[in-house]
Amino acid sequence: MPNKQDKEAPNSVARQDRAEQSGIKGQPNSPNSFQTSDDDGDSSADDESLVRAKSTGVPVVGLGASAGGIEALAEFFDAMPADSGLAFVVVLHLDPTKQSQLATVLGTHTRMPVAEIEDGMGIRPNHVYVIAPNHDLTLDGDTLRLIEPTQPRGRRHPVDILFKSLSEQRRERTAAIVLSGTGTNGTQGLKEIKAAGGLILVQDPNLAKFNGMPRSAIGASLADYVLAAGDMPKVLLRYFRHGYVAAPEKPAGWPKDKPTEIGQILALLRANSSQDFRSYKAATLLRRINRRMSLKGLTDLGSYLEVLRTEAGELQALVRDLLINVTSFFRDAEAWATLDEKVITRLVADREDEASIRVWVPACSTGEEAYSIAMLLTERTEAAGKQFDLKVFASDILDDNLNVARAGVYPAASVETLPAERIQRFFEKLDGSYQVKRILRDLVVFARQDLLREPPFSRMDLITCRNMLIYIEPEAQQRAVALFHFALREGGRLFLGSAETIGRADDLFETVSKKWRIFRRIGPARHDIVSFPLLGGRPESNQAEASYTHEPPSPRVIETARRALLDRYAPASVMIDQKGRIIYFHGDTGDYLKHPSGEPTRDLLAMVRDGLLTKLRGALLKMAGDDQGTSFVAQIRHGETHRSVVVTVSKLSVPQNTSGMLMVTFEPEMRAPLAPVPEVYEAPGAGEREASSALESELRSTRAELHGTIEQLESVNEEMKAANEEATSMNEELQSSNEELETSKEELQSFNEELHSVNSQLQHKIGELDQISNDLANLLSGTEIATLFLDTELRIKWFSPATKQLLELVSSDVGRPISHFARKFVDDKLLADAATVLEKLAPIEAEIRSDAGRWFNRRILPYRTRDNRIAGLVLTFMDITERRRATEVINEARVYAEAIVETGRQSLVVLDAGMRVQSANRAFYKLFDLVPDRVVGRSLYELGRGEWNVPDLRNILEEILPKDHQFQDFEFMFGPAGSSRQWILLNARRLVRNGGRDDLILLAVEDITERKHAAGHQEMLVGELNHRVKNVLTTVQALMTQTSRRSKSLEDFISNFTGRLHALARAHNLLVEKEWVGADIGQIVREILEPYRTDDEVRVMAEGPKLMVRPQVGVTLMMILYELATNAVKYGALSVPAGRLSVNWHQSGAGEAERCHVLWSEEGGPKVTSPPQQGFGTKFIERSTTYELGGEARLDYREEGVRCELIFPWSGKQNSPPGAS
Amino acid sequence: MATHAKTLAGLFILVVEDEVLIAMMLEDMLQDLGCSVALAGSIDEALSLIRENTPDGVLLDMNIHGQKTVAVAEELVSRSVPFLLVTGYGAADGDPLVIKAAPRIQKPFSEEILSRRMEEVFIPPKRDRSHVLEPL
Repeated sequence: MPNKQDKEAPNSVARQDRAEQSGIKGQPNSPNSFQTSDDDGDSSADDESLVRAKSTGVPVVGLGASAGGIEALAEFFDAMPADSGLAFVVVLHLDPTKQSQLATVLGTHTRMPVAEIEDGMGIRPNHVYVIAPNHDLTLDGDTLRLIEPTQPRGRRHPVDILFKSLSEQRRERTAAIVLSGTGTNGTQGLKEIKAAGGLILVQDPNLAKFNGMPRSAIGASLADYVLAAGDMPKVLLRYFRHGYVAAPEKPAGWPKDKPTEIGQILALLRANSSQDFRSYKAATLLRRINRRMSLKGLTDLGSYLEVLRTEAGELQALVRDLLINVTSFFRDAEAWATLDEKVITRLVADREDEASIRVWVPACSTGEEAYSIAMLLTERTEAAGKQFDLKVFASDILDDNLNVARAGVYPAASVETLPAERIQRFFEKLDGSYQVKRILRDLVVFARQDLLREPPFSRMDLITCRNMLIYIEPEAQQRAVALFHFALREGGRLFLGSAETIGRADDLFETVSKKWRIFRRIGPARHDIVSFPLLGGRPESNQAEASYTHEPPSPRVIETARRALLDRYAPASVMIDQKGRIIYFHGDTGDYLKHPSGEPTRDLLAMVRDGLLTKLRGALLKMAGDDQGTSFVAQIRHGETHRSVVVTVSKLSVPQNTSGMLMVTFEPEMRAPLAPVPEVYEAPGAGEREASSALESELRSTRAELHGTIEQLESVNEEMKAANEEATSMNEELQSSNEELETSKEELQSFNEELHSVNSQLQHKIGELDQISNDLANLLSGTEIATLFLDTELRIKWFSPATKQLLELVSSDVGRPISHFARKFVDDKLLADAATVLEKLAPIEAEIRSDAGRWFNRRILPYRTRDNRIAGLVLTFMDITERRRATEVINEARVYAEAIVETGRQSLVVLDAGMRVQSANRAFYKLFDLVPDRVVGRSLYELGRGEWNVPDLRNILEEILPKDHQFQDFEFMFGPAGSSRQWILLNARRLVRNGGRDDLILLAVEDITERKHAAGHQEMLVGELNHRVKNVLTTVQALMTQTSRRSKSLEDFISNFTGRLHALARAHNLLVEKEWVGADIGQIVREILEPYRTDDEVRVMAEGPKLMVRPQVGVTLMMILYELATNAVKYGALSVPAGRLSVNWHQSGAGEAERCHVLWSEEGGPKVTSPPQQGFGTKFIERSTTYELGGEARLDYREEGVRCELIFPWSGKQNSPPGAS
Repeated sequence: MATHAKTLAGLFILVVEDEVLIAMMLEDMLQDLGCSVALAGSIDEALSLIRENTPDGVLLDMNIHGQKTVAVAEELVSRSVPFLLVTGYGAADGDPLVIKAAPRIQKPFSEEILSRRMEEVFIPPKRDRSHVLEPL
């Protein structure tokens, strides 16, 4: 057990510093005066316990939200009881220019008082405090502070600032809640909360209106719970009521009575996560474990152990909690400024150009510090105009951390605290985060390394290990400091956390900056203090574990008593090892030992006073045998005085690990010291005998001593000889060893060369891989095909940028199961298909629709490695929206075209090159009375009764495809001669098809039989009309010539001709009115007589039955009556007022002999005389009656008046249409 | 016209025409030309007139009371009586050969046209040819 005081010293320094940081001022404790009377005897060196003691204020819950946060806050406060004893501080991104209504709004959702924060407001339980717009908020003890924001709008992270403040002020007595919002605000602050041991709740991103902030927090593996806002209060209450928070002063005293479980937990961690936490401070371990227990709602270590064993993930969660480390770029700006000034700048200035500068950052966590160093070095090197081979080695034991560090992607909040030029110089902006540029990443080499158990790096110029030592046991701290000494080159610097120190190793380091813990290595390499297993074994496991599994140390009182007794009664002793080096001094050994001049030594034989050396060496030699103990008496000459001393050498056999050690005790002999010789001689007279006997006795004893000495000398001589021989042989052995070493060295050199070449080869390979990786990245972003690689557990291994439009992914999501992600597309079978592909190794495709309305072809393929192993799956999502749309358009067009084809009256048939029918429409089937079954696939020429097999048609059809002809209006008579034939009109053209398929012929078929008939009919009608017109014209011509021959003068001709033409026209009128069906005799008569009727007299009579005559007959009759009437007006009854005219008609006879009689009879006119020559009228009447009526006219020029009777064949059936005549 | 009249004079011409006015006009015209004229208003009448007294020429309407006068034409062809179709129709495909091949005169016509056509058709070609040949 090392000296307690020594052990305490560094930790008390740590306490002081931390105390200063956390606001305890004015307690100037000297390192040694700060003695915690830690009765536990356990390591009290827990930096946290001190702050914990301070954080007794109201437990505070910080709520951070942004866009969409008000709803989540309302949901939260609806579910939060008003008497929880907690205080709530709400930070929301508010419009800086407007009065906030948030307090009022929240007031309607909780019974707790809600207040908008004013600077200096006290914080009280069961109250809700809301941030004022345009301010940052911190907590100072129990007082809320509003501060003017330092960052410009858009770069502010008020949630981070609140969380950081809460973590400092309340440690675990706080909870941070991240609700809906965009961006990454809060994530950085959560790290502090986590490190301080507080609770972190994050709203479920699937339920949050805006999931940026929750996703960022989850992505950084910070959330203890991911919950709906309404479920958070339950968890909060459970957490704050747990012993971990509720009674932090006394951690239930359980560390003492449950050591076995802790040991088991450590063993479990070692076995399952290969993390060794035995060097961690017990208090730290217990607090972290207790925190996990509080989250699980457990109070009993045993049941937590059970949870660790059974619940997947809890072990990892505990490891993450244990290794949580807050780090950020240039954390503690002042410290960095000091480092820059006192170390970096000088280092850069002193080092020759093109030499190398090596820096090691052990326990680098997520790499911020390593990058900070790299940035600083780069900047200084450039400023000095030099070029160095810069190498920053960064190591950590958690692979997750290293992966984050290697990727170099950090949330905006953590980067934006840097000056703009640094961001510009060293970072690339991604969405919502920044990535460290390649040039910087290339400077930093990240490697997994366990600082305490694996060999360190070496020849370092600077080691930065901040805030790691505080978590481990002092003994381990010392080991680490010794390792740093080893790893640094002469004069190298060590940069520790502000609460850390080199402890008692002031022989190894000298202080460069006391405040900022910068040290410089001094002294030569000390291999004796460094011990590390070369092959990563764990030789100390028994010992270290023992500290937890052994019986607790006995009560201190007994120890004190024992020590007092020892001090008082035990003789001065030293404990030495086998080689005679002193390990432990007890009591006052000054009488027996001295310090020789020269280098300090621990060799016992070199330190013994005169007179002891010879005997002691003999005794020690003796002890090399089997002797358990020996003692001798020796005279110590100290100046003039001689003292007799009894020296006892005994073997220590218990405990085991001290075997081979010896205890050498020095006791003064109780006998009275021998009188000095002169005294003997001064009293000879008193008794010569006595004197002589005394002399004899002395002589005897001297002789015996001499004899013994001689014997001893002889044996020593023998031994010397043997030793000499041994040395000679040893020398030979050494020489051969030396030679071997030379060879080894050569081998090593060649090996080194090999490694060099392998390394350069690797560099080359890396370059190639880089190139390929660039090519692939460009290919994948160029094709815009969303691609995902999954492992066999369906966790994401890699994804292309285009995937983000389908899944809410950020780069930190690599490693998470695909099933955890909200999909932006509908695909119920994704996981099932993935499982099937893994099982059957056959690809599966499906078409899926994204929420944005686009269509994707989703393919799942097995991921085959080069050695044909299945290492997961490849998912690709190809955007086929356009294709699908095009297909839809084509389909629509097809349906449209088919509808037209099917509904149109035109018959259509499609033929292939062999004139086989490919398809035909309904009109075709109907026209030729066919059924599809007997048409499709058969040759056109075979259809029906072979009507299509016409040579002309064959010729022209078969020319279409080879000569790219088309024909129009090919007419042919369809069907066998004699039957009712159809006229068919054909149009044909080539249907060009793409994709190498044979072209087709489209044949449009029209039945034009009716049209043909109609055309014939029309032609006939036109001819007929022509004939009639010409006939009529000829009639008019005849009328004219006849009239002219018999006219006396031109006037006479004109009047006669006009009258006759008029009569002719009226007759036609009449017939047209009757539609050439026939004419009623009565109507004809009335038409002629109409002009001569007067109202007052009945001089014109017309009487007879209704008798219909043929049109031609009607015309003739009219012309005859006109001639008669004209005559009557000129010369007859109508020329005088007294004249009377009657016209009668009737029918007689039947059958062949059926006749019509029309009688014209005048009376009372001038005396009638027979005309001297036959006039036109008479001639016309007689001729036309014979000619056209086929009857006879009896014209009688009676004196009293003209009488004319027309008799002509007539039939009752004659009123039927007259036909074409 | 006088010379024509002389050549046509004395011929016995049959007019087959159902329109009395036209028939009367033709009668006048033919009489002017010095022909003797017979009129027939129906096919039967025409046929019987031809058989009774073979005319030197016939002016034949194609249509008499709605009936084609093919029968009359055939009778005339068989008797080698020259005839002129007096018609408003042009030659039609469907007509029998006797009609198709017959010389015709289109209604309406002038007296001059009538006389020329009659000379061409009714006057025996021999005389015509001798006239042509004589100077040779």
